[in-house]
Amino acid sequence: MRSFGIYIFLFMFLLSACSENFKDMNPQELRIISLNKEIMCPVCPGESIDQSQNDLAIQMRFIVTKLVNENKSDQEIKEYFVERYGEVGLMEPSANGFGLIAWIVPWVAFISTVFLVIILIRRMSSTANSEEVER
Amino acid sequence: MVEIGQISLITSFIVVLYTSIVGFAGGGLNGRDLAQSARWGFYSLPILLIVTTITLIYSFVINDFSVKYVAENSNLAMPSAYAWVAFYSGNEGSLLYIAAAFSIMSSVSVLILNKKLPYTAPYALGVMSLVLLFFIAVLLFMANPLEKLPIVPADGKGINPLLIHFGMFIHPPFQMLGLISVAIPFSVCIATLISGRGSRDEWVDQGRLWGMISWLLLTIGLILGGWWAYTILGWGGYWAWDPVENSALMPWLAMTAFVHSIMVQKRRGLFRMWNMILIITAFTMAQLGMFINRGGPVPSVHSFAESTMGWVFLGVMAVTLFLSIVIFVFRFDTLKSRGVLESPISREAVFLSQNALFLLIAFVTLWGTIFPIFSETFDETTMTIGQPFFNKVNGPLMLLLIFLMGIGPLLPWRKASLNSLFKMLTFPLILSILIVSVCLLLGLTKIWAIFGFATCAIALGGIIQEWFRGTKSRVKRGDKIHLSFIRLINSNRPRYGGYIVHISIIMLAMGITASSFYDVQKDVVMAVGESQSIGDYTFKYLGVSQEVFPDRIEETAKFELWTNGKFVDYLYPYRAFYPEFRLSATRGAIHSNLIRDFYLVPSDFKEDGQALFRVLINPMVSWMWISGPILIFGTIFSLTVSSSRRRKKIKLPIANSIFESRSL
Amino acid sequence: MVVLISLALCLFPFVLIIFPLIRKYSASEFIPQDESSLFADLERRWDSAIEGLRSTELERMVGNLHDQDYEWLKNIHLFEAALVLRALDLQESEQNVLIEEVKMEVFRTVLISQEKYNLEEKE
Repeated sequence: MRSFGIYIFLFMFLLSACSENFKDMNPQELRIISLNKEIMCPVCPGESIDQSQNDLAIQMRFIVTKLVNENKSDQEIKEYFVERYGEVGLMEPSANGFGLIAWIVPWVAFISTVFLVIILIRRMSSTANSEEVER
Repeated sequence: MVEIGQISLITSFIVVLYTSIVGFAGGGLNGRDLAQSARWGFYSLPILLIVTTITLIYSFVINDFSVKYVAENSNLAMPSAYAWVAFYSGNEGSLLYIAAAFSIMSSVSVLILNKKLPYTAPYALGVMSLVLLFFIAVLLFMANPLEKLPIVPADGKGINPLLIHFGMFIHPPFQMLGLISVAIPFSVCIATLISGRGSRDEWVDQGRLWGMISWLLLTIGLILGGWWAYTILGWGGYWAWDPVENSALMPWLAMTAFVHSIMVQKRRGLFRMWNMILIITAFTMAQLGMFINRGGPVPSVHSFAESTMGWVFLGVMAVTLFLSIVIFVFRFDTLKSRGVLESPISREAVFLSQNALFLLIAFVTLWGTIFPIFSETFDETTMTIGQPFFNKVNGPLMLLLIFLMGIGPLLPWRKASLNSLFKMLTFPLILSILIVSVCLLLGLTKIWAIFGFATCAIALGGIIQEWFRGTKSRVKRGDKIHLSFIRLINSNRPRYGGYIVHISIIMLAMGITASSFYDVQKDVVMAVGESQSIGDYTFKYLGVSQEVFPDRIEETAKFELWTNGKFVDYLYPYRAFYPEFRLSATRGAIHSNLIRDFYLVPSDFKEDGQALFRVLINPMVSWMWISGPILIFGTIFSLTVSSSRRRKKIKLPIANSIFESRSL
Repeated sequence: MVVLISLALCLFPFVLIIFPLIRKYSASEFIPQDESSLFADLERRWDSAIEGLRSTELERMVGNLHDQDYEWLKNIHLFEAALVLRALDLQESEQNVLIEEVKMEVFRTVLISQEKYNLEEKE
């Protein structure tokens, strides 16, 4: 029972780190950061503008902040950048058109994996049973 | 000096050509003299390649710019300790490093294989020789690091500034060796297939040993890579799902699956084909990793060793895969399982689902990495697949994996009834419910994070429960408490070493979950003397000092850090500009404790004295770095055999008499 | 000097390669045991049966196993160990037949104990 208590206490101690921090972020800032993470820096391969320390990325971060303060929606802000840099400017493919394929394939793969595992387990154990019955 | 290296490289080429042919011949003709000749030849390769390596490093140390590679990757300003980093910082040198490191490791493995699997070893030697032959041939004919320049320049171009970091001394060597070391279990597997000896699980012990070692190297490489990115790339993260990172992760995933499922074969004689498929997949993915790293088709931050060589690697990967499949199909009939899967509630079944899940994650990662190529070819739009995609798709899958990790080891081999299942899962489930309530109590609302913590609690709860009960029952028999715990762990090292590794993975998962859901990030503009506070932390900007070095201009800011009104430390984040590379590198200052990191990085120093900083508070990141040593310890622990166990080993009673009668 | 070192580097691998080919083998030399021999296989199986027994005991000790499961697992591993011992007593000519028999025995025991187990559970 005592070990139980220690265990819970340890977790509480650690998780407290998360909660305190969390209170400190206002929703607008969170929105800016999550937008920054979804827009790619055009001159630094593979990095988002949030990640890159390039001057252009810093500029673009300011633009995002400005647009958010102008009460633009996420979609509008993303479109703003897509217009200028193309579809490549987004860190994840859009969920329509060709980009949809990117999202569907993992799902298809997941479902077929589940089926495959079920079939494999059944087959591997049923060969056991059928052989047993024969003898 | 370089000439000596060149000559030993040529000699090693001739030798490896010989061993790759004679190795197979020795195996096939059962010629023990041939096999021995190939083996001894193989042992000379590490010496030859080390000589070549030493000559190259020596040229770096004495700044011999008549060597093209040295001129391209170092300059007079570089401290000579970085000769080691510069040696593998470019394409040619890294290939030489891979060849040399692999020749050492594979020689050791041949030494052991020859004792344990004397009739399979010559084939394995042949396969390893072929791998090495490829690297040496590329070194000799396509990317020779010892090539000379016709005109000797006065100074070299210099090393990539991002590589000037302590982590660079160890991360790339581990990562590259990890990727190539997959070739060793692969060779054992292919050798088994070629010799047609798969039907009696001969290779399992050696496959597990080398699989674990290569898995360990890959893991160390990944963790060190994360650590390097966290401390130097200056964006406060450690993993960005970049193509190069992905390509290092994929073989790791396949190898993790392999080191688990090989245990099933060892204990039950099941999964014989499956293990072969896994190891072939892992090697293919390791080759793919090298291809992407060497000027592959997808843009990445990490493409240091960029070249046009990538396509050669891709071609060789295709050929290797094709040949492996051909050999596999040819030997298909030798790989029927010995036993049967007795119940879906058993460790075997969990291992099977876990394996499938690992491969699924690897597949999704591969899919995300190469999708941009698809979209370019078929849709003519370039798309980027970055962090958000992978987080959304792989995140939940990895959570599922940790759940399986929690229940898998608790289930017995073969079969468990629901009663047993209930008996072992009660405590972890109660714990996880408690953790969820703790989360809610603390005001955490992000559903996926809570899921993550609860799953970690289940996994940890299972381990703690087992250790607790095991220790208790030993104490009941009269042992002392601390001794009984050590004895329990010692009684089954593969199992409890695995548990230690699982604990480190749980720490890693906790760190990742906490820091990716509950990090605080702010970009602040500050003037000298100004102070700001976030949460408990108050930080005061004291000023900036500029220092000019021959190769760079460094601007170092000075900060005072306070928590809850108490002075903690001075912080010195800096930003260095390298005019020759037109590149600036930032190094964050990190104040770290067990709960959270305070991370400060300068983004821009303006001329009016104001400066832009990014402040991050990352919870539980240090747990990820602590997990590394624990993981290494656990892996090594699970590979060793305790001395008490060796004594206790129950031998087959009439073993000796039979053995004697057979060999006469 | 450089020439000498290079010469040495060229020569020593060739000495290593050629030496095993020209030396004479004595008749009494130790021939390593074939890892695919029946004996080696039985040894591996013996190990895995013993290992199975051990881990069953361990798992019972740490309280992961219900008593019925424990009995079942223990029996099956004991059977396997016993079968390996029996296999060793037989002649080499019967080896292949024997392997089949071992397999069949294992299946039979699985079946029997499973039936027993099911009956017990129904009760």
